[in-house]
Amino acid sequence: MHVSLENLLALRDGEIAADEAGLADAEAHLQSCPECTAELARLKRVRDELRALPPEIPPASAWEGIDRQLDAQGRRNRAWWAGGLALAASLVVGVALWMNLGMNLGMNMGVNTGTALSQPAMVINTDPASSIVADSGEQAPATTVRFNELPLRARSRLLEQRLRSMRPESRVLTGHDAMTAVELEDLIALVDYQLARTRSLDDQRAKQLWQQRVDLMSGLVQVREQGTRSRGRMQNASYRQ
Amino acid sequence: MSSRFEISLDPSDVIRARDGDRQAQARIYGAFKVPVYSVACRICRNHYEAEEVLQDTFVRAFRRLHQFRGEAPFWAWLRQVAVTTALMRLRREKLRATQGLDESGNPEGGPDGGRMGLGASSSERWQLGMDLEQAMGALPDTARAVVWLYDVEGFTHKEIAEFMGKTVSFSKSQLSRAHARLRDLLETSEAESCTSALKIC
Repeated sequence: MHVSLENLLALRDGEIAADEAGLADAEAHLQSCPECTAELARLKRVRDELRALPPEIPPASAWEGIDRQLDAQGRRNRAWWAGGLALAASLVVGVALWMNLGMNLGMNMGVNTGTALSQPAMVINTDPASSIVADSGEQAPATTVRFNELPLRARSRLLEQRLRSMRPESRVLTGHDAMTAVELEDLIALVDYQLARTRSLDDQRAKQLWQQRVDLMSGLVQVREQGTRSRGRMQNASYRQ
Repeated sequence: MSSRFEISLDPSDVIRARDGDRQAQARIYGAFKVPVYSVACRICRNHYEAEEVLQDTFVRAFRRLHQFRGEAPFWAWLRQVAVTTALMRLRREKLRATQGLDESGNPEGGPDGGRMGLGASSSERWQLGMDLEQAMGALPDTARAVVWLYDVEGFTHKEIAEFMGKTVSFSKSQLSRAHARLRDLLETSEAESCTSALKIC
C-alpha cells in the first residue's frame, strides 16, 4: 500500500507526526517504491515553485488610501477623546441593543437555542457578573461579590479571563459580528494606549479610562458570546433539516 | 526557509511610527508593501480585495503599534496582522456570498469558488493550460490559504489552526486535500496540452 499524502507531506517537511510508527513505515516504504518517491519529489517541486512565484506589486495609489484613513482615524480619535464616556456608553448600549434584537429575532423565528445557549444576553451595566465571577475561579462566590462592586481593574481582568476562556471556535464570527469585534478591539487598543500614558493624568482621568475599558470589554464578550449562540442556532437549525 | 517578510527595519522607525510620525509610517509601508500585498493576493480572491487587505493591514498595524512589544521581530508581527486581516476578509466575503456554508473543505463552491471562477468552466480553464498559479486560484478559498501559509510562509499547522479558529487536524487535512486537488488540476492540464499538441500534429 502506498504512503498517504498526509504522511508524504509530513516527510517532506520533517514534521513530527502523531503517528510516528506510521511515518517510520512510510520512510521504509519509500526505499522500495518509485511511485511514492516520485510523488514526494513532486510535492517538493510544487512547494519550491510556489515559493518561487513572483511577488505581487501593489498599485502606487495604495498609500494614499492608507494616508487618508490614518488622517480620518486621527480625527475620529480626537472626537473620541472629546466625546469620552458618552461615545463609549452609546456604542456599548448600541451593541447591547443590537444583541438583544438578534436574540429576539432568533427566538421569534422559533429556533431552538438549546439549554446551554438559551441564557438571556448579558446586559451592560446591570449585572454581567455572576457567571463571570464564577467562571473566573476566584474564591468569592457570585452571591457575595457582584461584578459591578469589584474595582474597575478587577472587572477588566475578569472580562479578559472570560475572553481567554472561550473556545477557539468562538473567534469564528459572522461578518457583521467580526467587524463589530474588530471595532471594539480597536477601541480597547486606543484606551490601552491612553492608559499607558496615564502616569501624568489625575486619578479621575485614569478611572474614566478604566471604566471605558470595562464597558468596551463587556461589549466584546457579548459579541463573542453572541457568535457562539448564533452558531448553536445555525447548527440546531441544520440538524433539523 | 525565509519569508519575504523578513526585512530588517530601523527600530527607530517603529518607535516614530507608533508615535504617529507619518514619514516613518510611509517608510515602513514602503519596506513591506510587496510582501503584504503578495500574501493578500494569494489568500484573497482578486486584486481589488487584496488592495483592501493591504490598506486595512497597515491602518490596523499603525493603530495598534503600541501593542508591539518587540519580543518577536517586527516583520513577524506585521505578517500576523496581514494574515489575520486577509483571513477575516475572506471569511466576511464568503459569509456574504454563501450565508455560511460549512468549513469541511468541500463546499466553497468547489474550484469555481476560487478566484478562477470568473465565468470559465473547469474544462475551458484546462484547455487554456493551467499553470501552478492558476491551479492555486482554482482551489477552494480555505485550502488555498492553508497551502500558502504552510508551504510558502512557513507557518505551522498549529499556527494556521489558531488563525482560522480550527483544529490542527483541520489544517493538515486541508493541506493534503489541496495538494491532491493541485495534482489533479495540473495533471489534467498536462494531459489536455498533450492531446491538443497531438491534434495539431
